[in-house]
Amino acid sequence: MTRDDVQRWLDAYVDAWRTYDRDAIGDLFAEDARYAYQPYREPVVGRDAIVADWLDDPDAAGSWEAQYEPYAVDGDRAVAVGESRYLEDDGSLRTIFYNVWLMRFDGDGRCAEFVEYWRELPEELRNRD
Amino acid sequence: MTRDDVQRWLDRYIAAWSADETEAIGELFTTDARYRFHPSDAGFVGRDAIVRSWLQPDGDASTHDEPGTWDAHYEPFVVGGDRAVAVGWSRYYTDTSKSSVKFMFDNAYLLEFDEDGRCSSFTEFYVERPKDRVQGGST
Repeated sequence: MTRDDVQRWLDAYVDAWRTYDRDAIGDLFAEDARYAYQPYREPVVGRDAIVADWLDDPDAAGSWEAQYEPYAVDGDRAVAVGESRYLEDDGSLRTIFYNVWLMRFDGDGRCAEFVEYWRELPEELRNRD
Repeated sequence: MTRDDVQRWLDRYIAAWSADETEAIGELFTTDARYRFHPSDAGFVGRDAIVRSWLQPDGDASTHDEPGTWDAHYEPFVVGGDRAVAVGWSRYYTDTSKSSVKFMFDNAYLLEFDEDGRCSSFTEFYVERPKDRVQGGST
């Protein structure tokens, strides 16, 4: 994978998140991919299970903005960093999640392993209205 | 940086942390390095400030760790040019007998190095494990 390949994958990820299109989500991942929402949690295993999991509790359109970019890429491995900003109904900032994604890709550029590390904006800096 | 270079740096990082040695800690970083304990922090800037943050923490996430009361393991996940990402865990015990775990963290470190192999930028992402998952040590 090149940096550009990884950036395209990340953009497709955000698009799939926005549309919640079943095929677009599934296309991101290898058939037997493993997706861990926390490094210590058992991963969701398999494309169908990952798609079902994404569709289970969707974020409302317009309630978030996200931007991710590759931090380092090496062969079939990449790490992406970025922020997901969640917004109040009036568009003001509710909170920010800072993310690091550890990823391994297969020969077709699909993600075979995904592990997420995230930190939330400290409480005193969030909108608490 | 190669994977081996990064592994050696990580091993020195743990050794310096264990020994609480000003010089060993300082040697890991460039003179103008930035060290963030949280991605939203401005962080500590400069070798001296980083050394102080390790040895005389002031209530941040990194309180001073008594020698012999913790274990840690880190390895590179990706190394690309002057950047690397290391992953691993640190486990803190109630005392030096290490019989009872107090906390365990999974960590990802975002690292940038200069041409001498010193770290110029260090950002921690640490995630505390739930109490029922503190015994496992795998990455």
